[in-house]
Amino acid sequence: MLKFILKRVGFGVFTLFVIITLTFFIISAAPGDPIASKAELMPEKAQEVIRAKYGLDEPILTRYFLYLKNLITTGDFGESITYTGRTANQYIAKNAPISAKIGIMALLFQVVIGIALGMVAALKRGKVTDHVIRVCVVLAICIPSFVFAALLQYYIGFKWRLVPVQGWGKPSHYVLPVIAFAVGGIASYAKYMRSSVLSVVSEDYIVTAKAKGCMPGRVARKHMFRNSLLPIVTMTGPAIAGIFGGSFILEKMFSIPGLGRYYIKAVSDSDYTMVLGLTAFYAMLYVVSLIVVDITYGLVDPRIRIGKSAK
Amino acid sequence: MSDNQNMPITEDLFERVGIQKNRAEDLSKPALTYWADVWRRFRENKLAFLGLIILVLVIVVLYLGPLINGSDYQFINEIDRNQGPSMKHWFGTDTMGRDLFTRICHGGRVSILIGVMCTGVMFVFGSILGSIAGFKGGVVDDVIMRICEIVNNIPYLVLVIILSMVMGRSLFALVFAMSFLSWTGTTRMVRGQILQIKELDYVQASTALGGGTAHIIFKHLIPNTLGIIMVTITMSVPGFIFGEAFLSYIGLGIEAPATSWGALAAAGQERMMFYPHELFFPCLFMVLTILSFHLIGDGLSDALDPKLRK
Repeated sequence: MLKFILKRVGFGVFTLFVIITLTFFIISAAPGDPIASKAELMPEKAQEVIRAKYGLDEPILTRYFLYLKNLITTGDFGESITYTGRTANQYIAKNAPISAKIGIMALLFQVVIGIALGMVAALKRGKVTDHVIRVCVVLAICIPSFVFAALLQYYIGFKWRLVPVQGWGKPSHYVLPVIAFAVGGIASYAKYMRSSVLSVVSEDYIVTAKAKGCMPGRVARKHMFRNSLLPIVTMTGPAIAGIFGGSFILEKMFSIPGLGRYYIKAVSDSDYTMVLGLTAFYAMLYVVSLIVVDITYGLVDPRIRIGKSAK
Repeated sequence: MSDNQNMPITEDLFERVGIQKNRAEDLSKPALTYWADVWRRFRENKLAFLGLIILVLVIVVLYLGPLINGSDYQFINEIDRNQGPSMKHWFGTDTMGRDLFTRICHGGRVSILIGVMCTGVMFVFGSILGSIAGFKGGVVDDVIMRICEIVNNIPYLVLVIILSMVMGRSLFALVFAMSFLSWTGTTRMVRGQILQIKELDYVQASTALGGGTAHIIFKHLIPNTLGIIMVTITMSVPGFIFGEAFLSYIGLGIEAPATSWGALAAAGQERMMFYPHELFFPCLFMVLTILSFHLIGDGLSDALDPKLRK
């Protein structure tokens, strides 16, 4: 198990390195000089000073190694070009927890409700309940999240005035974004859970359990549920990474000061250093959560515990 | 039905055929190729067929609609701004007084084109890499699969955003950004299929007859994995349409005056409180199209599943 974890972590670090390198060079290859648009009217001398401040006068490789060195030794993700003095670290510290709050709540709803719905649909296969759940799932998958969010804002927030349309600070501000965030996830968890349960119903161990005289409820809980949960674990990896980055669109729509919103803002401002810093942070989260999921997978499913001798 | 039941069955209705030795080898029914059988089962699936009809209808409307309606999708009419649906403007007008129906038609062409092009790139890259990995095995396989793993570990959305930020907002840039990292799923799937198929007798026969790698891959392996690939294709077109909508929404999509469903929906969302129709109609078309692709994909995967073959 230890060998497996070490190998996985090593691979993760390498991937992270590839992502940061790729991002760095893609952004550096962008047409236009980030300083030029900002300091067009400044005298030549002043432009040079600014370039030197950001290290843009150095050759690209030197900049790259400097960035890597800063990132590894001090955890410095970089400083904004557009807004002097603001660093990516500040944004991460201040805004990532806000995204995380909404994301964790939404993820909980997604997993719990989605798995429950999928399980019910599979157990009631071919009955009315199954059809109703499937139609809802298809609809929820086909409607883009921002359209759904817009509908929520229009009816619940604007027409019926139950909760604020947008904003941040009060508990009631959580309601709409969490629902909008959760719906798509609920649908896909339900869909995968249904097919996952259906793929285990005809397995030998289920038949054996039934033949032994196991009560249907116990078969569903102990045998079907646990075994069909495995593919679902892999789905949650990227989702866990997503909660810190937040949903880019929804944070913008609901005016939530989360990290995703600032990421989009940095992109539309062409704030290259900020984009690079936030991307590095986001990639780190992503890779870490994939590693965690892989290890969890090994713990949940004894069959794939790599490196452990079979007893 | 009742007529048949009431008809008396008598002895003289039947005639003894006897044994016809020379016709024993005849086929009583025309031979059904694999694809004909798939098509037959696909048609029997009502939901999937409905999906196909919806998709065809949407495409017909997208291409013929503007001809009937007669409006120009770029024509700005300062007076008729934000109008509701009427006889002249079927779906109303947008905030610059442009006819929403024709804009939806033109935007839809772009959206579907992006979806299809991205899927095409994904499919070509994925299936070629997957077949090479699966067929060659060994070091080549290892290298390709490791690359896949790395690419899989890259947060997709973030890289799409960065690429389209750097490359600008042309159609080509969008397609490139979205399909650049999308092929890993197809690669893995095709590789898995190839690993199964390549041990089969007809592939060995072809090798024995001197067929080269390329010949075997294009003649035997890819056609036989096409079924599963087709399901993935229909399922991924909606994903790319969503992706384009997402990029349009954060301001990285198609540039005005050209448009797409995503761009229209994003614009409509801003004025949703006052002019809900500007959000409703683009979304309706987008949802219908995505729904039809899902239904077709579900139907195809059932029709192609040999276990369900009767």
